[in-house]
Amino acid sequence: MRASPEAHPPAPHGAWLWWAVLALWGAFALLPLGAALLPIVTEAGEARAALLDGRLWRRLGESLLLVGGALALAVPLGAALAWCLVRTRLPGARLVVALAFFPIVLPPLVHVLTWYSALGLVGRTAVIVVYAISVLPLVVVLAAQAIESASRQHVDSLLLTGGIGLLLADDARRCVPACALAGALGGVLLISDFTVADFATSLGPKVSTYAETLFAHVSAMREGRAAAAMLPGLLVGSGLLVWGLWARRRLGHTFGRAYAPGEAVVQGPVRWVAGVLAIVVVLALAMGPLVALAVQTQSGSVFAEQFRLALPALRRSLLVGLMGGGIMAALAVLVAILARGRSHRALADAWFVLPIGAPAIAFAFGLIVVWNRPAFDAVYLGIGILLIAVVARFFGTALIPVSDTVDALDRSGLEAARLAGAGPLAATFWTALPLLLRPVAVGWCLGFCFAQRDLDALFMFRASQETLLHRLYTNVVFARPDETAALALLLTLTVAVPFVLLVAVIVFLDPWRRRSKR
Amino acid sequence: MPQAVDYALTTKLSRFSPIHSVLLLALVLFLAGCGESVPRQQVVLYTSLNEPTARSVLDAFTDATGIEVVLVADTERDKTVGLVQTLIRERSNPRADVFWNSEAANSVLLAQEGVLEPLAPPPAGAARIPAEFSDPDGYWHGFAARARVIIVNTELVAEEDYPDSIWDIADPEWRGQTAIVRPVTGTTLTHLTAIYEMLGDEVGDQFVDAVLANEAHLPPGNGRLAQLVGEGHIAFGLTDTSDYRLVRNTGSPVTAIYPDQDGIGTLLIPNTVGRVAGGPNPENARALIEFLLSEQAEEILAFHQRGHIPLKPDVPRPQEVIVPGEFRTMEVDMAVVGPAIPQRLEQFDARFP
Repeated sequence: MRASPEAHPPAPHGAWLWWAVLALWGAFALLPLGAALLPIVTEAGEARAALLDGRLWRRLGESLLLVGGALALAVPLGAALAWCLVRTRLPGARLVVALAFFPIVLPPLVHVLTWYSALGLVGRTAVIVVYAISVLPLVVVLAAQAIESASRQHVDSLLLTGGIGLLLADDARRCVPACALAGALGGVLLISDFTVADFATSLGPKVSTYAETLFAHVSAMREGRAAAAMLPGLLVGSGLLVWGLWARRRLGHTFGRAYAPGEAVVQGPVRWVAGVLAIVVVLALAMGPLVALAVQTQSGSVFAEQFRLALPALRRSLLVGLMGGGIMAALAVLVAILARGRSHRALADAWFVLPIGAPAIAFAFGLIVVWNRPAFDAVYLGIGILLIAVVARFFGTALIPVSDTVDALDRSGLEAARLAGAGPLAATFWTALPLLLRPVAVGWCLGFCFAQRDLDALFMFRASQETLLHRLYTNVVFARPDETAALALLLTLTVAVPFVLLVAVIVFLDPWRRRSKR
Repeated sequence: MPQAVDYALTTKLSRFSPIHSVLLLALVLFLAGCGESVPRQQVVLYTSLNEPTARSVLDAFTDATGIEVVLVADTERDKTVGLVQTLIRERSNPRADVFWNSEAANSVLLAQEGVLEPLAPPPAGAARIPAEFSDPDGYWHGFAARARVIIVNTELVAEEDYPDSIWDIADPEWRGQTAIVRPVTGTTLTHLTAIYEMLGDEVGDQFVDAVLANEAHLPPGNGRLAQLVGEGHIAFGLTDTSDYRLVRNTGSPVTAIYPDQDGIGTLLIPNTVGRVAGGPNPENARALIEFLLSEQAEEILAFHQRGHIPLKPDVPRPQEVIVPGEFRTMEVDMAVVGPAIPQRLEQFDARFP
């Protein structure tokens, strides 16, 4: 046993299990992706033609421009709002930060239905604004977390030596990796979207995005071209994510043992003006979809009728979300523990987040190739295939908060458990578990919500037919606007419920908060 | 400090390792799949028609035969593309018994790809449908059609100015006030392909150039286009009768014009149905196809709020649902149009912004 646990990085353990998990992940998550990309090799001529086609790069540029424009709006504004929320420390600010994450997990169609009607915007501007609104809360959450990582002692030292200017500079430095990760995650989620552009440019000049080219090649049954067209999106998406994770790991800060949150830095009337403004803006963006859809629903009877009609779909959606979130959270703990202290960590991160960067439709087609076999009937024809799809694609989002906490754990509990006779894995698992409850809850919540968000990519599977999102996509064309709004509201509430639970978890299971009270 | 550790518990549980959680998850996954085991008397239907419309017919089928229909429906966003691609990728181990396509072109393609198979003997109802709406080799059969009409906002366009030809979409007098769906999917893709294949590339190019020069709006689907006309954002545009009826039923000030009655005629696009080769329930598939090709199915679809046009003679229908003979139809050979779809799609995708 080492004399000083913090003086040495923990030694990685369970090598065989670690490699087994990596291999299993490859089989479940990356094999379908490989199957979807295989035509690049088997139809090399077609693939080359697609990659030399100017349309692909023009539209990819258009998508990057839209996403870049949205991030240019969302990142500085989100960081500023986060700073106001943390440094003014008004009552309820923590709650607002927790709620702020909400919009990123809503399906893009819900954003369009909300903000298109509310703001009356059309064209390229509308696309950028809707994208920015959907990403901004993610920036707020991660930036707030980064700013808050400066302990009271640290903040006091900065204020004493350099005043508010030095603190601002220090906070800005802390925000960089958080904003990088938020931008990367947001960018990946938006780069393959065409719902917003399709809807918002129904009138006026049409904006065709990267995903349109992919869709056209798939429709024209040009498998080689379709596979090649997926490649740039996959590279850009996974590149963004790996960079975001690297930036966070390299520049980010974790809570130390002596951590205690700082007091309000901004005082006087400015505190109230800035704090209230930040709370109002973030709450409006986070809760805007709920309010706007409630207004568009017009009457409770319409909502009740849609609820009755959608009950089987609601059950199925909840089942997929609950199980998907559970699997992701449990796997995240396992992977985070096994990955701790390994030298090839960046590669492992890339291995686990790669599917997030893949266009959803490509992933779904790959799943058909891999799983449509008589031996897998039980999985392919049931919700098993949906679980595989959502876990494989979004596991990375659950892994990030869990692995951050696991990396920050100190080893004293672990060493004590080992002395008590526990094996290395079991000791880690059971000593770490109490401290992991909060990030695991966050991971579960993300898994649940992304399962709701991404079901539209899985419509070709039988089990996805009776889901809320499927009904919504049907309603948006075939039902009255108030009925569509009611169904969108139901879907939004379904995603909102875990957030209420999450907020409760954050409030009651936050060890840092309890320590600061003591 | 981190929370205290329960060492006694730790010791007791020292035999438990995370590998157990992996095994547990695998079991959960398997059980989740097992929950979806299917009953015996069933037929698996993939349809690009929207689910509410399809259900109106399928419920009647189940009532009549006792065969449960497992329905896999595409969404408006994915049009027919998702299901067609799924059918092709599932070819080695087919999961569907029947494909009910809301148009014809992709059925031609699926027949070429070997996904569909002809019924022998042919279904009884097929004989009563005009020959031009079915595949001569029996791979697919047409029924219950939609017409490609111009939906007009009656508050924005005076009656004497109503358009009467698809070329009016390109009329400079209505610059920036007309619309056509971006023709990369669905019935608009079929429509433009038919114009190119039946009237020649020169006429097709002239039409496309004129539409683009006229700054026509390019919404993503016919339903959305009809909504925009109904809401008064657009004066008129090209859509399907089914989408027109949905908007009209909401009370919007719209009317439908059957275009080119003095020229090439109005394009009629039938629903089509075919049996999937090697599907798991071939006999039930036949029963469903027979039912879809019956007068009863066409009658249900005619009285549905989307008002499909019966192709068989003497099928009861609402007065507002007019049938071929009451308007001039465009002559189209689907055997020519269908195979041309992929190439035209790439062409339109490059041509339209």
